[in-house]
Amino acid sequence: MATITGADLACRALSREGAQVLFGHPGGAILPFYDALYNYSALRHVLCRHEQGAAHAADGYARATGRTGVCVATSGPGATNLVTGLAAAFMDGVPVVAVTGQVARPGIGTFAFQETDILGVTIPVTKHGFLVQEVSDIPEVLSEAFRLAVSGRPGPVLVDIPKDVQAALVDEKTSSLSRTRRPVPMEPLQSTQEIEAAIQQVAKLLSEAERPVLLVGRGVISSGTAGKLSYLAERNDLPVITSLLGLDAFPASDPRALGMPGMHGTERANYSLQDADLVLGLGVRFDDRVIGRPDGFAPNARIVHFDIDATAIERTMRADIAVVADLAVSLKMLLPLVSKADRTAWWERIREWNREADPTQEPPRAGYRRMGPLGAREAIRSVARKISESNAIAVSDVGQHQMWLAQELGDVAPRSHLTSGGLGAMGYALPAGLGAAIGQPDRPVWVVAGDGGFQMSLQELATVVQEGIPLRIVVIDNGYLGMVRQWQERFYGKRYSGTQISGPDLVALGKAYGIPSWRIDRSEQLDSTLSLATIEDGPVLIWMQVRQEENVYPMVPSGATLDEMVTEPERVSG
Amino acid sequence: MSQLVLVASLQDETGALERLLGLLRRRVLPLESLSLYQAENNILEVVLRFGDLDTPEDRVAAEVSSLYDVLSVRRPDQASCDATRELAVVKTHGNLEPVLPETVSDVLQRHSSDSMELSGTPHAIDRALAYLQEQGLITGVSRSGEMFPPGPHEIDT
Repeated sequence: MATITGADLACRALSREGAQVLFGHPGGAILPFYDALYNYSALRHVLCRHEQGAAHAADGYARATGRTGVCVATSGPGATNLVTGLAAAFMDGVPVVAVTGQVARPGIGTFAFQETDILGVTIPVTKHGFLVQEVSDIPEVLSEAFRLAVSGRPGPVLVDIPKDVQAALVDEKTSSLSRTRRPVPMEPLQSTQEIEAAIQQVAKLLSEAERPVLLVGRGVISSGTAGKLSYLAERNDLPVITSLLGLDAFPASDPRALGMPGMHGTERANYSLQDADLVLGLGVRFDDRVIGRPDGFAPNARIVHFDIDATAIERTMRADIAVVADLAVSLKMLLPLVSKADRTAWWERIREWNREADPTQEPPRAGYRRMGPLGAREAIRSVARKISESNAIAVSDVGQHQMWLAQELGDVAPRSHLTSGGLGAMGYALPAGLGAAIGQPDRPVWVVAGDGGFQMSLQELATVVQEGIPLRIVVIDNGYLGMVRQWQERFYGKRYSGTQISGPDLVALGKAYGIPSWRIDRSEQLDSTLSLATIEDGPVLIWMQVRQEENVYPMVPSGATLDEMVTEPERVSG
Repeated sequence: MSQLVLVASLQDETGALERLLGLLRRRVLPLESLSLYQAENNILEVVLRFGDLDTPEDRVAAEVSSLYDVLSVRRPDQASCDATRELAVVKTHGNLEPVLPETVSDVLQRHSSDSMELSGTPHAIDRALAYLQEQGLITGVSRSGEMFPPGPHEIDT
């Protein structure tokens, strides 16, 4: 009888499920797995310097490729370090499978060294967690984990494998699941007939609406329906508003694109939503940052919610019609029912509102360049232009720069704008950019981070160098945790409590890692440095020291409705 | 008052009940009572009775259904509710059967010298226990929680 270890079974199962890259960090309880991995050259292991980095890298890989990302960690602290990364993936619906080592079964529950109930810890931030108790269960559990990660609304799944189960020998051909019944969960709860009936109603509403808008989220990216969205918008002459996570679902330069809605959305997007008589939400979860005060959102509109996740319906916002299905299915049903429309009057109204987040800033005249201290938005605008010009992937961290990049981003292909939208996890960008670059090796990847977030995960510079990843890293350094400072400025009387932040000399730091690095602090240095940086083959780091107290506008104050947005700093009040 | 009752068939796996209860807590769903019993090998039936709900009932059902461990969710129909049963084991001061009135004896199934089993509808059990309590006859009670007969009573979400 040929025997095989549980760890070998796991490596085989990962290969069979299509995993190509594992982002991980070894340790005691996962040693048998790593020993088996030694023989599987088709499974590329990327040694991240922190397990949170591994989880974010798996997330970035998944977002950029559409394939499930995989991260690996040992028990105890290794596993708990994954939690933020799993939570970020959970909030944004990103398929990730996390494989963790657990102490051997006899040690579970004994406060054994590096023991943590990671299954319990991760319950709120995963779609599901498996504790593998029998070695023969490993193939099916991993198969199930991959299936679950992409089914319905995608998300992370954890597979916890005790060390003795990894090391156990089993007949090579044995693979049975001890569970008695395989559930079929997370399927849409509407029948085909119900979906068809709802779609008929939607088509009727669309034909009757005078001021309709499409509100688009990441579901369009996950379902691969950006093409159908474009067709729908063009066919029915519909304005398209893209959430932070849906920015890459529709070209920013399209005349029907109104930009991002919500707290830092454009006038055109927010006022259109407030004035609309029909809002079609496509794969968007009506997040609180998007809708502002719920009872004042789109007060005159019927709301239609298309989502694959039945639990998203009416979670934050009423839905006059809900279509619970994969957008690939529901849009396919809707498109033939949608006729051409003339929305001239609605467009005349929409064009009264500013499309640009910062309409006051004129681009420099040809042949001229700006001079003086570098502004953050100005810097990010130039980076955004580079991103669009080179069909690159943009990965932003969390904070002011994230909003500026979202406002300034031009046309990018689907799966080309990655950010931690729901969780808002600082430290996301560098490891996620690493994962994206490994998943899309032929495309440039720009990481844009603030000085606060960058310092949360800069240890991954070593991973970038070790793997030879040509990341273009931009650090916007204003010496503050900028978004928090902005709130303190506006709502807490400029009492900057705990938000001033210093950091290392990033040029010296970059050089210590062998990364070509530049520091700029003036506008006139911007374009030449960006051009210089893009010539390099390997990773580069550009440290942009910007004016300290620049704020993100427009802004909808917390608790206000979207039409209470302000574009002038003086008008913001508590 | 909303009296949503859901019966979830739950695969009895590591962490399954924790996941279910954790979900209800995270969604701030007002669980008024919960009972569970083995339906068949490795399958638990969990009866969830909710109090005043701010959340639409369909979404509550959808939330419960979304869990991987949950095989099905049903909302009991009237026939099912009528057939609901509960078991109570009551510790008493000695053998009281001869002195018990109709309200108690109609649910009395079996007794020993100092304990008795009551089974019937939850309402009948409530009534019997209230009487025994009033008489000062009870020294302890264990209740199983309500049990519904097996489906099919598919939920209409």
